[in-house]
Amino acid sequence: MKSAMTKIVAAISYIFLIFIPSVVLGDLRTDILRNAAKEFIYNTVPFETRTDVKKVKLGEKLFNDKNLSLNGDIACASCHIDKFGSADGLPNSIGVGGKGVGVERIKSGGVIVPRNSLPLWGRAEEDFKVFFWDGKVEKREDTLISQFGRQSPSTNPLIVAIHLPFVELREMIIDTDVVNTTLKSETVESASKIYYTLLERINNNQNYRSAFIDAYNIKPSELEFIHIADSNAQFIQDKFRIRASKFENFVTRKSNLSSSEIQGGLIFFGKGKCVSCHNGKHYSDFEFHAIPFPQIGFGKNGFGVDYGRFNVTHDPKDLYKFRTPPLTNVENTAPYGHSGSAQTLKEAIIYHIDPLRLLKTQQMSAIERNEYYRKLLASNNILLKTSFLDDNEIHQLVQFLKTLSFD
Amino acid sequence: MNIKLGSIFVIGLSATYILGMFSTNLKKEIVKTYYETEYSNYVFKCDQVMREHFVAKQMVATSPNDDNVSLLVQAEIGLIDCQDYDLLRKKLLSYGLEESDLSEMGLKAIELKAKDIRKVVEIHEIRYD
Repeated sequence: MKSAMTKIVAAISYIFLIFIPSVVLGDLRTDILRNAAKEFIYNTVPFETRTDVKKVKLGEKLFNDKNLSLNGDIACASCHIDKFGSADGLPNSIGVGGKGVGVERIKSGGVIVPRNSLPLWGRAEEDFKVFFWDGKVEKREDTLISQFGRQSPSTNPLIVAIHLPFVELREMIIDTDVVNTTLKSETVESASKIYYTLLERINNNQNYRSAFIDAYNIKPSELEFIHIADSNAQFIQDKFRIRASKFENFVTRKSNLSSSEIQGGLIFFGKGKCVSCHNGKHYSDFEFHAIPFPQIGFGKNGFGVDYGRFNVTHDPKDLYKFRTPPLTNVENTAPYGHSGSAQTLKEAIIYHIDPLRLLKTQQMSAIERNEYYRKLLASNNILLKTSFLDDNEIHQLVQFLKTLSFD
Repeated sequence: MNIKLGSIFVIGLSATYILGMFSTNLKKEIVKTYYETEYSNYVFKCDQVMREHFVAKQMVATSPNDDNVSLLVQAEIGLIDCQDYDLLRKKLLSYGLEESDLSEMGLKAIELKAKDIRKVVEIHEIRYD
């Protein structure tokens, strides 16, 4: 009898020894992940969305209206498409002359814009202060820095950012001879001429005109381009507001994650060091870092070169640096990197930790390799921080990144 | 008759002991073989995160700033990999392996990389005499 009891106790102890630690460990991992999320991500007060329905509707119309480009053949919605998570699904955007979406757009013979189209999630939130890959519009404390200098049309960085594509050659303006001789001067004055032309189109459209007067409660003579930009901002604020992701629901204990997603999360916040730069509610520190993504396309500086942030600051320390991209809905916004050279999230991760693995150096020209060495050198700070991850861990990290999406 | 019976008993007992020993060792070998790759993987991962944790601590000690403190917190989270290693160790002990068996498996894992050197020496027929 005593022997039987001993055996039962031994059997129970055995079961505890084998199974209980995995249960306890599961809880431990969950707790660590939730605490890390609270420390690194959800450490700010949620932003309240306040939009005006009339302005939002007006902004939506304008967002889709090609008449708001000087040549009348491209709208904001041409490169910010729902299907691609509000980006365009292409490595480099296709600006004026492009037709259709996705691959069709490349084949249509439109003009290439040498950067990857950015999604619009959370752009209207107060803590979103740095816009575009090279941060050419940014708000640091109370100072707004942009190409407009002291003649900034607004203190709201989103509204200033909205002003830029309309006057960006290739993006929304085709560089005809007339444009080259009359408007290509890189001055606020020539930009103002374009805004005035677009404003006139709105003024000449009775429906738009009435809608603006009604929505903004202004006299007809008071209608300005800033109202157009503001209504666009209202639409972006409403449509692309950040909602609770699967991960946020996990953090607030409304749902669970799979063990693979939890493991990926622990890598994100732990040895992957991803959260060093991808932190805060937008998963971006809004700082500039060099990641050795290869260059696809002509590049902002030509001949397959894109100096990134350097183009804004002219500080050699900023060579090859780009703003940390936010990760909201990241699974839907492929391809990745400033020139879209990573087709998948897995590739994007590998370029952060083991870039040579994907690089076909034998197929690169000597100049391409030389350029890549410089990029690698500029990336040393990131490459020294990140850890080795095996393929299973990379897969888990991808699984985690997919939890940053919402419906 | 009694001597014969006694001999049979002693031989039987010895055979049982030997078989018992053999089956215990066989079980150990099966467990070791089955878990060798997983164990070596955990040995590497735990070693990696411990090294990085040490470096992160030194970075805070030498340059105490927010970035380095943040990296240390991340390195601490990374130490969760050592929990996997500890858990597998406990599991293997419960399966009948002993500390010496685990040490042997650990050494094998560490020496995996050393095979590279042997291979290079063999390929290039480097001689030291």
